[in-house]
Amino acid sequence: MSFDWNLVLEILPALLSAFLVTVQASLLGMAVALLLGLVWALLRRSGNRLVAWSATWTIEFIRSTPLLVQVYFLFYVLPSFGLSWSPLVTGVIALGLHYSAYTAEVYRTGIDNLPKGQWEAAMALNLGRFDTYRSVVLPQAIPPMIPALGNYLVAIFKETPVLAAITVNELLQTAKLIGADSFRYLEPLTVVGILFLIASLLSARLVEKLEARFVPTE
Amino acid sequence: MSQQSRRKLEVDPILRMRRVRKSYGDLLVLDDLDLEVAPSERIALIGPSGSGKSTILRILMTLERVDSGEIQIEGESVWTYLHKGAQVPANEQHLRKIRRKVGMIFQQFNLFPHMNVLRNLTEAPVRVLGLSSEEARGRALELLELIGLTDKIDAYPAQLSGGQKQRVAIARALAMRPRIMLFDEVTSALDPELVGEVLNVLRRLARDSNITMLIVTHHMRFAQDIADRVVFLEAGRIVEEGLPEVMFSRPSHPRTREFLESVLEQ
Repeated sequence: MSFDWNLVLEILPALLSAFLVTVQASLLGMAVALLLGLVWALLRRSGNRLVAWSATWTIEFIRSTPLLVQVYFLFYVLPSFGLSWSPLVTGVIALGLHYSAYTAEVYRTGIDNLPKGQWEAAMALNLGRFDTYRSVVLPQAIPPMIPALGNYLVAIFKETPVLAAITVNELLQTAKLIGADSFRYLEPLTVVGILFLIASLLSARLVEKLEARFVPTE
Repeated sequence: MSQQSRRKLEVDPILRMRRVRKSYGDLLVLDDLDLEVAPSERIALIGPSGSGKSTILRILMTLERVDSGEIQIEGESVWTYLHKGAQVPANEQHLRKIRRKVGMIFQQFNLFPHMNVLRNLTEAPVRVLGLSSEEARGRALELLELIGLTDKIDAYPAQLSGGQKQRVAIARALAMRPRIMLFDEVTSALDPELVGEVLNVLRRLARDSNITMLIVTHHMRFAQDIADRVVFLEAGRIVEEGLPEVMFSRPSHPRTREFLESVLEQ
């Protein structure tokens, strides 16, 4: 079996547009993970024990169940409760929800690392809870977290093929369709691998740069 | 001086601590402490480390809760409030009302490192007191003049010396116009040559304002200069208190004498 370069050229446009879907799902999923992770982290710090406890166990639950199961659940089970979204939206929500359990942990560590004196100064100046987080805590806690959060973006990106299971036309799904049409899997899957490799290498470099920019060397 | 102190104590105290008890685990830090402070009074709290001086300030700033006892600021209970005819435990809203009256300066400055000097001084007045940014800026400029750092308005804390940081921290607390200011070993983290500039700001503040001041310090000369009353604490109790002239020249309690001898020797 020889490698058919002509086929590569022929399928490249379809794969590149699928690649854009993959990137889109990753970035949107990351946005959800960033927002939701912050919500979990703040709920865990709530003065209300029940709220803090519920958040902790929600995170634990999300982390202990496979992403693929969560994706299936959102796609096949929720519609019977009247909640149904397009495959891409479902995929973005699933990725975001799953990774929010991990970003929550990053936020938690970052917030815990803030010196106690900063909280005390905020209290002595009578800043309320919201203002304390907005003006004092998050602006200091977030920059050192950026590399760790960046790593999760890379992880989300590499997990997007899971969405093939719910017919999102991302890279893997598209490659499978091409394979089914042309009876050739070598070329499409090779291209998929190479595209992931290039994107991963690029984003790893980006994370390195972020690290140099935001993590103080001591 | 003695007449002035007596007159001050005849008015209603701005601050009253009654049988205040506080421990960290097994360690008893405040042992049924009683303390009353008159408006505009300047109190120097002295004593060996671990005597509970800083804990008093931290409790007054509501950074720590008490185990038992009563604290009143301007006649209002700090940890309880009147709700439907009964005293109930203080909620956040009540505590914030109390905190409006109190400001605190810390040993480690605790400036906000990601904000420049101007924003350190204006953030809370804008967010908490609802000042417009022009009003807050005006207030900040006045205070920077008071502490002699007008030229540092755009600097970040990392670009300031320790003494400058602490002066900015004092200005930041003053920008909230508190009735009571708590100074927690404000020169202890400073190089010796930077102590003077901070103490001078405190002296000026004591001279030109009528803010009630509670000062925890190891500088006995400074305490003698600035205080209306010196309180000597040991093991969470007030051992002796009195006018600075008396406390420093003829302390009546042997423990006070021992302590003063040991610090003045250094």
